[in-house]
Amino acid sequence: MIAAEALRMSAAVGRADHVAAVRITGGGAFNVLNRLSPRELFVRDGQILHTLLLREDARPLADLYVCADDEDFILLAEGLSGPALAEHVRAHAGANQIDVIDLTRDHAMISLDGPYAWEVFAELAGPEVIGLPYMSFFHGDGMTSFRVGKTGEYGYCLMVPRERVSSLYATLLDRGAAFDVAEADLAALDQCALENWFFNVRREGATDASPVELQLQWRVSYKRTFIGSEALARRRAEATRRLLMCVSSRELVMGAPVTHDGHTIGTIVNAGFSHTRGDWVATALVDRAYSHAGIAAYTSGDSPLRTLAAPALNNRSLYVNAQKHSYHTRHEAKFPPLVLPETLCGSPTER
Amino acid sequence: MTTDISSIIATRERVLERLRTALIRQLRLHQTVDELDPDTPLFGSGLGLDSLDAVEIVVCLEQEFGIRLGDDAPSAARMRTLNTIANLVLAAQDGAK
Amino acid sequence: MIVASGIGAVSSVGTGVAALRDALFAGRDGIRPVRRFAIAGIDDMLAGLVIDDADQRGLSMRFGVQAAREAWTSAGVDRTALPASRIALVVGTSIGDDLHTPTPFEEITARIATELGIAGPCLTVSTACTSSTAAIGLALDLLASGAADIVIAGGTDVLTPEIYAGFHALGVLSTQKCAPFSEPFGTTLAEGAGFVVLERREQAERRGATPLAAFLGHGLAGDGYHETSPDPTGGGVARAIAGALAAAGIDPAAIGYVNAHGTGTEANDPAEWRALQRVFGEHAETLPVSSSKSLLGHAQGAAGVLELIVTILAMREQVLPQTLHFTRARARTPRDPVAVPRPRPATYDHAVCTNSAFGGSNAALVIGAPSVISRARSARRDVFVRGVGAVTSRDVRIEDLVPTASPRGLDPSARLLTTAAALALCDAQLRLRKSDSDRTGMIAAVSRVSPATASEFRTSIRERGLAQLSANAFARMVPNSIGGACSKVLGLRGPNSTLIGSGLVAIASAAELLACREDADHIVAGGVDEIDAEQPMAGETEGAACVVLGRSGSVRAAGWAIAGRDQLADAIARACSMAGVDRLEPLTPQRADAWTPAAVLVDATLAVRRTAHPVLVTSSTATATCAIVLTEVSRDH
Repeated sequence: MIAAEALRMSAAVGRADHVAAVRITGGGAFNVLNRLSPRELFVRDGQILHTLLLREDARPLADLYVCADDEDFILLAEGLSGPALAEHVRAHAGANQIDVIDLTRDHAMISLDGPYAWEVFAELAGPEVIGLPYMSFFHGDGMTSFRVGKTGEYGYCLMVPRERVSSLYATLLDRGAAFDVAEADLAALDQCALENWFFNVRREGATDASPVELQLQWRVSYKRTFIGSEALARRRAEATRRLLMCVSSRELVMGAPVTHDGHTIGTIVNAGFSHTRGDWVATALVDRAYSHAGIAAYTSGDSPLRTLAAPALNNRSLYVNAQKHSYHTRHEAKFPPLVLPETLCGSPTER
Repeated sequence: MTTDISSIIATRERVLERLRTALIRQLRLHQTVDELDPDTPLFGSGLGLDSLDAVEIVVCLEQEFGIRLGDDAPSAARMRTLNTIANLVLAAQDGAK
Repeated sequence: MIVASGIGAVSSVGTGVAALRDALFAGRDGIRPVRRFAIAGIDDMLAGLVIDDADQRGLSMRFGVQAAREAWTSAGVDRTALPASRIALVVGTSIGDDLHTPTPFEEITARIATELGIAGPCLTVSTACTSSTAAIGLALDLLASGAADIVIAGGTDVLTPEIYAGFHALGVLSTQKCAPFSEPFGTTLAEGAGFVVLERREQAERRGATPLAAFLGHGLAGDGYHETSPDPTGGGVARAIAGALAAAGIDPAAIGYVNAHGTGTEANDPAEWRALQRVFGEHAETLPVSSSKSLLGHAQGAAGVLELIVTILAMREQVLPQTLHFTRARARTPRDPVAVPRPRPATYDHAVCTNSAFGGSNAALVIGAPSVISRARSARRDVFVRGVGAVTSRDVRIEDLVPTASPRGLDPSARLLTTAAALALCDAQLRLRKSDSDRTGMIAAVSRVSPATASEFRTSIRERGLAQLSANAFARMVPNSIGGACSKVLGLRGPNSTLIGSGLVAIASAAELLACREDADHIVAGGVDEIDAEQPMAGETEGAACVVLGRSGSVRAAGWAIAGRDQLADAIARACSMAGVDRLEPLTPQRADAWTPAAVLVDATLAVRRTAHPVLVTSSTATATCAIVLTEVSRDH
């Protein structure tokens, strides 16, 4: 099975070297993180909080998971390397007593995503992992398993000692054969993230947009001081664009303008062909007045656009229930279609 | 802007505004109206709502918009973001015309 | 060794233990279409109602009195040989008599006490669906502490339209008769009452009574996870069962049967099975596990004691209670659910009964055949007050005290209790690490559910109708949601319970737990009251006060005692004797609410720290009295 299909129908395994990990220990850990995270750090032991790292100008520097591990915090980040992430944390420690350990030196990451990823993972780690709630993690079997993911499907990120990573990867592929597990590279994962409206620090994050424009206000607080808070308050008032999800039957290109009646109203910032949908999916930064779902009047180059309420898929994972279903009996179950009829996703009929 | 799309946009903005106000009140969210982006995930990540909140949203849709979630489409797909709920409201309004 | 010498039951299969036994052996459930009430917008209601046509009011009390009387009669106690003050009562109830216009919970307890002529301590436990299980646990502790010679313990609950609508809103009701571990998902609600008479085996034998079962240990634990959903990893259930087994000194492999909570819901059953796998390991693969909810429905706070009585009846006749309505096994559920129409013969002499509840409460009991010998109870250990905290304003920002805690969803009562508990933990200089969390408990005393929550609940019904009541408010309409929310915020996952009444009784109960248990190092205990903004009562105050009890510290909880309403002198005498001090002048709280007595103990602790003089604190309510003696540590060693 190809990666794009496996990610949406069964499960796919990948080397997630793009995810950096550090551990922060010491009495000052909370204070330092509180200064770095634009989102309130409401996170209990064993749980994961999705937040950001911002630059002073409020542009996202990294897509960040904060994991409360007893008195320590584990950070998982995209957008920074392990050493750079560790350095960033240290640089903002101030007078706080902390130690920052770059976990990527001795560990590697494996991703496992798909509507039946839980079943594949249970083959490896036992049935207890099935009950692991989204946004939580545990240590066991010589690795740390994070129940996270940016595909819209059941997802795990496994942090494994480097000397074991090859054998574990091989084991996952081997056990996964019965589940038609494929190998997913970063491009395949990024495409899933795009289809499911996950912020991609390498795409949307490569623009000059602020969290306000990126519809990431759920990850920021306007009541606290943190790195980037001053600029964020300013840019909140100045936000003129908003990220918008678009699809087209014709090719969409990153960097291409979005136009309406001959006027440029925005720019495509992330685009790719969706194997699952059979059309092109993109995110675009569009003038706020125009940035709404349910419109079929925009174009990008020669490609007519339709704007959607995100996400672009009706993920199978919404319906796969570990108590009812199994990959091996998937044909007996009736699941809704992966792509909903247009009327249900607010897509207009072409005018 | 053509009148065609400006009316579509105005309609959606009205629905989103009502939804935001209703959900902030009903779910006791700490956000203000303009802090709730239309495509913010509601469950799991995003606002991190749970099964109790889902019940409130269903009731809210019925009370506020007169929409009863039937079985014609999967409800999980309809409550992913404010925008997907807005789709539901807009579709119901279209149907009523 | 403590045994059951009498049992009484009122359930959906009939009134009396004989009716329950007949239904069990005939495989005849008590689930029928609901005729007693109708709810606009909810059709085809199924439930296990005791009575089809009756006025809703007073049913909980009626069931409770009937079941307690049967238990008491069957125990055959000669009243002339036993002073009324040595008889105690513990009633577990989830909602009291009516969710909409609640009667004070303690009225049921007081009424049963009056009916049976009980003059010893009468306590009320309200931990939602573990209420009667936790009540029996508390009864075992009362006997062990010498507060009584005989205890009647159990629970009672009525099914009201509000409860039905609440569970309906949560989407956890089955469209068919509840089929635990099978399909379809969902539970069936019920009502009823059950009581057990508990006493020492020697006493029962001396007076010629027939012991029905031995009570070997009980366990309590908080999930600290969610208001209504169980910890999916089964952590809380596993800790409660492991705690009960440890208290019993029983090897898990000796357990021959588990009567599970087994509600049939999508969330409960796999979490519970996971817990059983964690506790029993390989043994779980062959261990029979069934759910009596398929027989009786889910009788809420009375479920635990009714299921215990089913287990006692079955064990006596060496059969396993069956799981009815079982069609096809669900994934991740017990290997042997005893899915047969009638009880299955088996040889066993140890069983576990376990229950879980809203608010993340879990409770488990280990029972044995009447003849089994249990390990002697471990030596009692000293208990200290490590930290204290009190608060009178609900405007404290929890985030300032516990920066990782989200304040969303906390009602004023929960905010007050959490603040006091956080201050007490702070004062104790305790930072709860992960492993400490599992060994730190929470015993709270409350007077009622949060008036703000009750108002929100009533408003939602008034404005939207029963079928569309607020699920969020409904989840907080059980008194233990207050302690549950506090446990969740502070990560208190050890022994967990909620009492209705004086905070001093909660603290004394916590001290008793800590003194004789191995599964906790610290317990946060105290009380909370919230003024009803809509109907404030004269003289009412609001606030919360907590202590952190532990195994070291500068102030020792040197003596404590709980006694009957007119037995304060006895409580004082026992507490002073335990502390080894002469009779002291008591500090007596001005109000008989939940938080004031706890606040007096907080003040007393500070006084002992300051002056090094021992202090006696007492409290009196309509159903019990309590005394606690604090001493300075250097003095008593």
